[in-house]
Amino acid sequence: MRKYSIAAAIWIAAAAFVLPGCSPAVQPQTNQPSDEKGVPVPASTWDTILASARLGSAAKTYMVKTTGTLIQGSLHSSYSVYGGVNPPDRANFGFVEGNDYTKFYQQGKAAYYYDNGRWKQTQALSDINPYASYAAIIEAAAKRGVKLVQLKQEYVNDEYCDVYRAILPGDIANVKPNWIPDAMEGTTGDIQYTFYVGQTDHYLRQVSTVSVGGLPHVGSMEADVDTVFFDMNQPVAEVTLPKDLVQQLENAGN
Amino acid sequence: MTKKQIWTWLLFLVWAVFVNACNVWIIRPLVADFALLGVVAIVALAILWIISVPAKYRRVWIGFTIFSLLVGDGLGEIATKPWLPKVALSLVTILGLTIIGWAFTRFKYRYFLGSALVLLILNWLLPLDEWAFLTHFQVAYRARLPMQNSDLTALPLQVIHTSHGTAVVTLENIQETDKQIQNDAQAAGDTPDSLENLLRNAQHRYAFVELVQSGGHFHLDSLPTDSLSAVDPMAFTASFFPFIRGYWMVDNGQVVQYMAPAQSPTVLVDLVHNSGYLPSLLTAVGESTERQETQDWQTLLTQLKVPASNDALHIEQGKLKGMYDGQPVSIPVHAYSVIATGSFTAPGAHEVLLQGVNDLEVVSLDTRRVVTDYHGDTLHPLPSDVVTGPIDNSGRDVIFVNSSPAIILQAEASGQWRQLYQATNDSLRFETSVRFAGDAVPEIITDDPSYIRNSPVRYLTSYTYRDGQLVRNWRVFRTNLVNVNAVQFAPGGSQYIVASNYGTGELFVLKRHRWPVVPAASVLLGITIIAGLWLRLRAGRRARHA
Repeated sequence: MRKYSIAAAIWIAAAAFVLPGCSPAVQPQTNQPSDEKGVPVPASTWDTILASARLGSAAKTYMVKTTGTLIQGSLHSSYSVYGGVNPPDRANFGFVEGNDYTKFYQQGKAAYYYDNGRWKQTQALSDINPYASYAAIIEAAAKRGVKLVQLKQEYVNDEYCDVYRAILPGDIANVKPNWIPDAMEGTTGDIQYTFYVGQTDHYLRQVSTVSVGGLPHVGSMEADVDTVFFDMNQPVAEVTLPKDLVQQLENAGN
Repeated sequence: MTKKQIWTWLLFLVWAVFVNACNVWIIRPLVADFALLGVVAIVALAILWIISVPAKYRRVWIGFTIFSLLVGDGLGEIATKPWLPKVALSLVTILGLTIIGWAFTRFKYRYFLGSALVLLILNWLLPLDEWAFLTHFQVAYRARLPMQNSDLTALPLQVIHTSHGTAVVTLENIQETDKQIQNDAQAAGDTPDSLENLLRNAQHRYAFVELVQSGGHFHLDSLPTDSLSAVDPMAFTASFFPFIRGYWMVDNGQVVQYMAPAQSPTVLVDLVHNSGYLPSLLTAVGESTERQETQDWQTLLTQLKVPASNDALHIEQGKLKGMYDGQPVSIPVHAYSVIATGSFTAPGAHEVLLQGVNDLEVVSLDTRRVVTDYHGDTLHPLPSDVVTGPIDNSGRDVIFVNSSPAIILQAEASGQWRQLYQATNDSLRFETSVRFAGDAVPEIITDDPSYIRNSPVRYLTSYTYRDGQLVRNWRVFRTNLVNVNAVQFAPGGSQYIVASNYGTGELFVLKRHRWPVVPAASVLLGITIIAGLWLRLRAGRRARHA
């Protein structure tokens, strides 16, 4: 009888410790803005960041990945981009917007996009180089002497990065794209930019932004975006013809 | 049937239902709220209960209890499936478990089968997982509308007030047969894109429906076209805005919404090419999508000859416009959208809360000027998820801002806004504030994670604000509720909670009741255990005396 009670006690104790493993556990919070105050750094640090963006824009090949969360009301929508860039005029991108997927491919003056199971011709861009747009905005911020703080180092992709944060005033960071025909009513407020500069290869490895835009009828929309650069000057990042495009064009010839 | 048989049947049937109720009302909440401590409590409770069952009946009674719980859990799981798998799986579950139950207990299988049938009927009336509502609410109405997860994450809900009364508008996936699609396709041809649009969106088209109350009962109706002027199209596109947009068309006199990518590949490529300017480009994408949607909606209203009304308060060209007290309003503001009307800075004041870029503005309709504004921090921008309502009997409304962590703000005419409360965790979300019949102070309805576990699983919870703290009134252990609205369908009538379920097309209308469901169930369970222990003790004494 005694033996049974001991066995039962052990069994119950074991159950009490094992069962919680089956209950939903602590999950890490995601997409939380950093609460770090950061350490102010001299304005000359902008030069380091600018150099890292220019180094990137001079790379022959690189990969880029962007993930964005757009928050409007209680529900979120998202979009993401993944692709390779071979400046000045060779690139392929995949876009995920909600439940929709499209692709883009360009070499020289020939450009195609993939829609509803088929590649279609589209307008080519004269020079594709995302890094260049970062260099431009960093240069503008440096000229203005925008305050910069350094946060604790972080690991991005495959190396440790120095992390800098700046709040860019709306007038530096705002552009009106030419695909909006007339004056825009909506505006974007001050934007929080966080730059990640590689400690060993000195490339600009990641840029994260948190911003709020005001839109007529809709109200405000928060956008949290991370853009990561990787495989700089690596053969992996070389853009090649999509196989299904080759196939489609071959068939079209027959 | 003898009297004894009737009693036995009753005992089995009532116990089968009771243990399932205890499971939903006591056991699951213990784990959800107290994590490890809850599991320890359940183990202790189970041991106590097992000890309380007289040895003679132990095999049958424990076997039957486990059987009831498994059947209840299984049927609850099956309840959300389409009818054919539902019938098949229910049969397999009930027969399979009955056989296993019989094999373990060697007891008359008819009690097992009978109890399973009772659970089946109850589960059909209200799925077991929804019993969680019953602790504090009556489920006045529930519906499962056809909806595809790839199109919408949850049913969008908008409360409208029209000459027909108050209604809640939502969307319902149109169930189209191949033949109907063929017929519609034959008729599509009024624009170059109409045939392609129709075929690409077949099975993904949604009709506007409204939830109304008539004669004390709720039902869904197709939305009358003249109510469209009260509908805000943005409420039905918010979950996929701005990269996917809503399109609207009239099909057989019915307004139909479907979704498609809003931007051309040229725009998408520009977003990568100029990604340094992405934040402002995303605002541009938003504006471009909003322009297309607003224009299409206006065209639709014109086509249906629905008089567009400009009476509701809205923002137009940097001014708050609309009608108030029979007078046109035109007040210059910085904001982009109207959040709510209420009395924010003083009791009885007629004010409007507006939101701009990381900014909240309170405008007085009495003095026709901006009373005060509040700027958010750039590191933690103000989200657009803002609700308002009273939290006490002062006659003033407060502003619930669902940032992470969420805060409660009180606007002051002096310009110094007071932060009344800051959530202790990042997951708390304020849904609404409501005064149910019999409430001394308004209840703050939230979706809130558990006490001691920092998990983002959230449950519908009511709080009262007292001395800078939120004091919990009740919690319903039902998660995944979104678009929670407090709705009064008739003037002076009861307050209802209308909410949709994330990930499915479920819609719930809840009415608060005040029966002590959980205490009653706990007391009953306690009595059962004590009675069992007492029986065992008495039997033990007798055996020793004999």
